[in-house]
Amino acid sequence: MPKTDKLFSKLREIIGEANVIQDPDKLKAYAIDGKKPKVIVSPGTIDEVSKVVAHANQQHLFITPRGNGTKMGMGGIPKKIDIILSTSQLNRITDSDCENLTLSAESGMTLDEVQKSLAKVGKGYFLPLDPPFTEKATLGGIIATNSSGPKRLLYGTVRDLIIGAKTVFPNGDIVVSGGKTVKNVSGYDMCKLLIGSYGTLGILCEMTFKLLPLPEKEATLLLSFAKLEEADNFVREMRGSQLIPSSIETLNAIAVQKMKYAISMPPNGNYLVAIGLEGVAESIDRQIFEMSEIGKKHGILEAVTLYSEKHQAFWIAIRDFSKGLTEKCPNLISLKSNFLISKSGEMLESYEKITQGLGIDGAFISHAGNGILYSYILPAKNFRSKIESLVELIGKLTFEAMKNEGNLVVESSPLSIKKKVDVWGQSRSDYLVVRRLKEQIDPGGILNIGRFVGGI
Amino acid sequence: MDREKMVEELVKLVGKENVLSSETDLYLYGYDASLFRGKPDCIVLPGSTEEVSKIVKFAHEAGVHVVGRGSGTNLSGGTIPTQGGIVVHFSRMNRILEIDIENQRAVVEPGVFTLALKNALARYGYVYQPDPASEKVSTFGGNFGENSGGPHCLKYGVTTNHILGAEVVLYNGDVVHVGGKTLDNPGYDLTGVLVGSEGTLGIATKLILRIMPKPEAVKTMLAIYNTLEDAGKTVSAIIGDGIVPATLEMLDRLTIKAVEESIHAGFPLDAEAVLIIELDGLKDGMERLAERIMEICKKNNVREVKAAKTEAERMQLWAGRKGAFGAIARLRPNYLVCDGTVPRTKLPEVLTKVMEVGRKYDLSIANVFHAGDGNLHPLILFDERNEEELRKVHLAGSEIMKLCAEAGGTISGEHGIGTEKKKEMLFVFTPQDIGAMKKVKMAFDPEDIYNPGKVLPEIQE
Amino acid sequence: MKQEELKTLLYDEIAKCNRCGFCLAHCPIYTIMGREWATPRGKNALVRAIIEGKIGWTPEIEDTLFRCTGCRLCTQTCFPAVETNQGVLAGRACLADMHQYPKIVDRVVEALENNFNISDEPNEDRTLWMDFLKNVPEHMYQKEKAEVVYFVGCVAAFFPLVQKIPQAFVQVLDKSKVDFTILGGEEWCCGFPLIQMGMEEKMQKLVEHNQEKVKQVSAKTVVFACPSCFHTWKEKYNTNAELLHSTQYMERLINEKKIVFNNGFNKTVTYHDPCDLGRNSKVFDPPRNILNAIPGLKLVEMANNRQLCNCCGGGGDLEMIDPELSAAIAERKIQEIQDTGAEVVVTSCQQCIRTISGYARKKEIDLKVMDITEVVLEAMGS
Ligand SMILES: Cc1cc2nc3c(=O)[nH]c(=O)nc-3n(C[C@H](O)[C@H](O)[C@H](O)COP(=O)(O)OP(=O)(O)OC[C@H]3O[C@@H](n4cnc5c(N)ncnc54)[C@H](O)[C@@H]3O)c2cc1C
Ligand code: SF4
Ligand code: SF4
Repeated sequence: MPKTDKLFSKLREIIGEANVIQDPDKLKAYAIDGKKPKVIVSPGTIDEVSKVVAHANQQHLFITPRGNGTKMGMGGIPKKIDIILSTSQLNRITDSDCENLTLSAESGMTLDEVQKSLAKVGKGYFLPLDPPFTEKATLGGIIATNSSGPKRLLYGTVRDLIIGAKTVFPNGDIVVSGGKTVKNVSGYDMCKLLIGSYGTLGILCEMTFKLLPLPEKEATLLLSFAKLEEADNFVREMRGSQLIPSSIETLNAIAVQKMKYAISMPPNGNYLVAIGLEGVAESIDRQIFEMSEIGKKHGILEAVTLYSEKHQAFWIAIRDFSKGLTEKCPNLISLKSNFLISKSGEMLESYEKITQGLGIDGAFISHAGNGILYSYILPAKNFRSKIESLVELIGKLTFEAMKNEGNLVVESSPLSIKKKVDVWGQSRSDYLVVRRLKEQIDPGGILNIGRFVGGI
Repeated sequence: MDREKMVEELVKLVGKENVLSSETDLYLYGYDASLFRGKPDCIVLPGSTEEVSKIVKFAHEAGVHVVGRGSGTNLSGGTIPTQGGIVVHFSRMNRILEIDIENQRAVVEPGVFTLALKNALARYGYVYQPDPASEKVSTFGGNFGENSGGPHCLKYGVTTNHILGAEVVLYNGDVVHVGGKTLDNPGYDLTGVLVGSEGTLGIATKLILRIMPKPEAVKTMLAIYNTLEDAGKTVSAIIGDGIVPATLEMLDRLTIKAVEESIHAGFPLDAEAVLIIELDGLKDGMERLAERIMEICKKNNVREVKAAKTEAERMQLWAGRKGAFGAIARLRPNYLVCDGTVPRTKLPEVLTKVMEVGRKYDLSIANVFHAGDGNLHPLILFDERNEEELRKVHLAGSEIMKLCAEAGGTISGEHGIGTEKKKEMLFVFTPQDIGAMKKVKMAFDPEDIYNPGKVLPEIQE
Repeated sequence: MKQEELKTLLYDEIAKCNRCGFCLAHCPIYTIMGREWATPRGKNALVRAIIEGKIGWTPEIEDTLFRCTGCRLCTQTCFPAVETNQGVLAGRACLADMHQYPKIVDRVVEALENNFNISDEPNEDRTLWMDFLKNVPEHMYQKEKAEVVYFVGCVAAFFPLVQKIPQAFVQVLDKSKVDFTILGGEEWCCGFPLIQMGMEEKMQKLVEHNQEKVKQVSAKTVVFACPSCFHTWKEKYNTNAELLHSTQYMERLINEKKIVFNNGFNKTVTYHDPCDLGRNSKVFDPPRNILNAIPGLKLVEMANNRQLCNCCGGGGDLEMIDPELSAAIAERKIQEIQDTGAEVVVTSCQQCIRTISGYARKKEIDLKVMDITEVVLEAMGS
């Protein structure tokens, strides 16, 4: 028996035959950036996770945690993968305490499942997070990648919503951080460390979140503009006002076209500002009115309001923007840039210019209230010959973000590009602490090696 | 290293007038607002990041501890130099460096008083949301160290939700920038870990804060109850009805009495509890929500519920709440503020038990707290000159923490662990949990330069 | 004072300080010095440590205790209202007992013993301010009997910068047809500086003399333009006469229509509450009522006013003991004044004027500082 087999028989012992998969086809399907795992394990309890990890740590087996695989393309190229640890069987709500506005659930649950169950309680509750692919994305994956969506403008991101976590550390310890109360300053805020850590510090197994009651009313206001400057001036005024939209998204024409929600823009409509509203009924009506008035000052071409199903469908289309795209455009490159909020307009403008200059199509969606811009670069047919210019493009876009105190992360791209850029953008002064944390917590270096910043 | 040598070196770095080392000064920097005492080797008042960096570098090379200090108002012994060393007092680094309205950020030095920034922002119609009762004197360095909260944190979150970045001096004097004015910077969320780390991981020399436009409207209500239980139930019922107010604060009978004696906020003396409920946001629909809240109060046997009609009335209600700790201070020379949180539905039950603890030790306990987020503040009254009483106070405090932990809560909602509650950490965390935190400490400060002996209890590894 | 006395008198008071630190935000000394010894909390801690025998009378304690303006902003903003300044003064008294105090103290004590005024000038010179006044009556405002005694105070009598106060006030009284007198060379220092220096026992002689003089004149009312004299009389003197600050008295004259404003005063002004008048004697409204009664005058308040009005830096003999510190406090005060956009800052205390305009002059800051008596006189016209 080859050595690895012996190692894996121990895994079978821990979690049972059925939960250890070595079928070559499956393994191939789970490959990341061409690196195939040797085994896929799906522990059913946190204790099992702990034992699997402890075993791997002892035997120096490399583990990559996985939820539903919606973000496996993110991050750097893994150095080596022995075990893919799937959280698919950690899929229970362990404590739904809507009265206290908290919910604890295991990391393998999808966000949609959670939301559905919350909506049924009393007058209805929700976890105010709207990252991409909620029907597939698991809680663990969302947290590990600090995934977010348009509503972050009002509700914040995972860091504002998570209050407790149970994590298996690389040495197999089950570590509880935070708790079930919304206020908690007992010890270090370990939850923060795990958010956006891409599974490099521990396997997130169970989390506790803050909840909110469902809003009374929701609506969308779509405003189209001919010029970016007008759209930006409108957004600027919005940001400085006392109005409280839940999201402000600015889309360029290509983004509107490619989006899976048909919007008929007026003939000279080149930019769409989409505003999400949720809250007390009266306030929604007033905001629609006032925003349209403000819009008029800034030259809106058209204002459209969406309610109920249309409203929902529109935001799903924004969130899951890249979903349909990858099929049509396998070489899609998704980028996420951050920068000073006030530079939203300038950033979009410069990104459009740069892509146009290189003759490449780019769909842009900006969280205009947060200083985040998602770029979807759509290389034309002869992709291979364009690799160099695409790398150059990413460099230029990164430079623009850095000028505005931000950075650029390549969220997904063909391997050939990934090999040539640092997907994490410009390195930062605090990476020296990041590295030390990794060394302290995962001294054996078994968790998700190679995928995080600075090659961690 | 002997003190004289240390002082000599430090004087070279920051000048003579900014190094204190007389017996008197060492005595004065041995206390904070907690009941603990220590003694530093000397005190330094730096004026810039470079100076802080040099001081820490020197301390690191000399193997001396460093304790950061703002106004020393923390209640858990976070600034007590338990093992000597250099106290770095940030009173000179008190400049608001930037108010960047367009990007909705402010940049401050650690010695700026929380309220000073708020006053400066008012001119622009902007606010910084966290509002610890001590805001007029608490510094941002201290808020950062303790992850401070306040009444409005129910809706807006605590300090950590409003600190987006920092310039940090590491244990060896290196300066790094964590987070920033921009969101979602790649890497671990070091800012998030540093906030609330009580000066044990790094020293902040600059803080980047989130600021936002002031809400358009506010509505403040006072609800008066004959039983604590009804007040507690109202709290849960409001949230259960889908309303998350900006604040939900509760005061009990003893507190009401003390407040009325000193501030005259208009609370009736014979009430068992009052709630201060505030809504903020857009003016639309606020009336309707307020009425709904009043309805809920009535369903839960409120004796009387009324809304403040003018800004002056509103300020008066808040003066009563903000002055509560202080008013209690008039009853006896000292009070220990316990700071535990429980799931809010457990409030009535835990409060009853807290009062039992008071009876058991024959101590008066007053309650004034953030009911909306289940953050209790039982105030145990005593005279610290009476040693027997002091001993009982510590026991009662610990017992109350146990109650909170057993009710599914935790041992600190906003005041930190410091020196005070180290052993109580084991009420809520296993040695493994603590072990993980130790690793974080090791990563930031492998030589235990910063604020030794705080937060983490000793565990057998 | 002996240490044991300190304990009986103040231990319970000082023990009320629970080190919450709220006073730090307000204390003018801490605001400038930024170190713990400068805080009211620190002062309480030190007095307590002395009482408890944990620390001796170190030189730093002397420095600390002699750096307090007596503004009582700490007590005002302290929830248990700890009387920090009482501890400070008692501490100074203990130090005095041990002859441990700044050198300048001896000079002042000597001056008071020899000449009964802080300037160490011949006491007859107390009336020299009249030299610059036109139409001084023959009796030089010194009558044998009068309804009202105007107690001028040492500073206003001797310091040229503020002699404008008695100059203005006697004219106001004159125009209002008040039957008043000053005590001239028979006015002795009220004793305030001695209290500040921890030598209260030395003031008895002064108190008795002044009380006796007022009695001799058969005055029903004693009026002070100096808040500290006023406060000292109220606290330490025993007299049947009514004691009023000039602002209270002028307010009465306005109500009685004895003061009439023919001119008005067409300016925006802000009002600075002197610590000993406002916070320490609770006289807040009379000066404001006077200003609001003047036609054309627009009153704007400073960010911190009334109970929370910031100290100018001149109190507690600080200007004498640590002029630099006093000036730094004044600088902040001036900033706050300028932030109001007022053209004139009005106050009702010669010490505040000295501190504020003294600093403004030195730094060539264009700031008009007036005593309220001057404003009233100007507004009355002829
Ligand atoms: C009467 C009273 C009421 C209070 N009310 C509240 C309340 O409502 N909510 C609340 O949350 N707290 C409250 N507190 C507690 C306290 O005021 C807060 O914790 C406050 O944030 C401490 O600020 P400080 O400047 O006094 O910090 P300090 O006490 O000086 O320091 C606190 C901690 O921060 C660390 N620290 C200081 N500066 C830095 C720096 N630059 N970098 C890194 N670490 C640093 C210190 O080492 C220490 O561990 C109250 C305290 C009192 C006495
Ligand atoms: S003097 Fe008053 S305000 Fe100052 S620390 Fe003591 S109790 Fe607090
Ligand atoms: S009286 Fe004024 S100067 Fe003296 S300690 Fe109090 S606040 Fe400070």
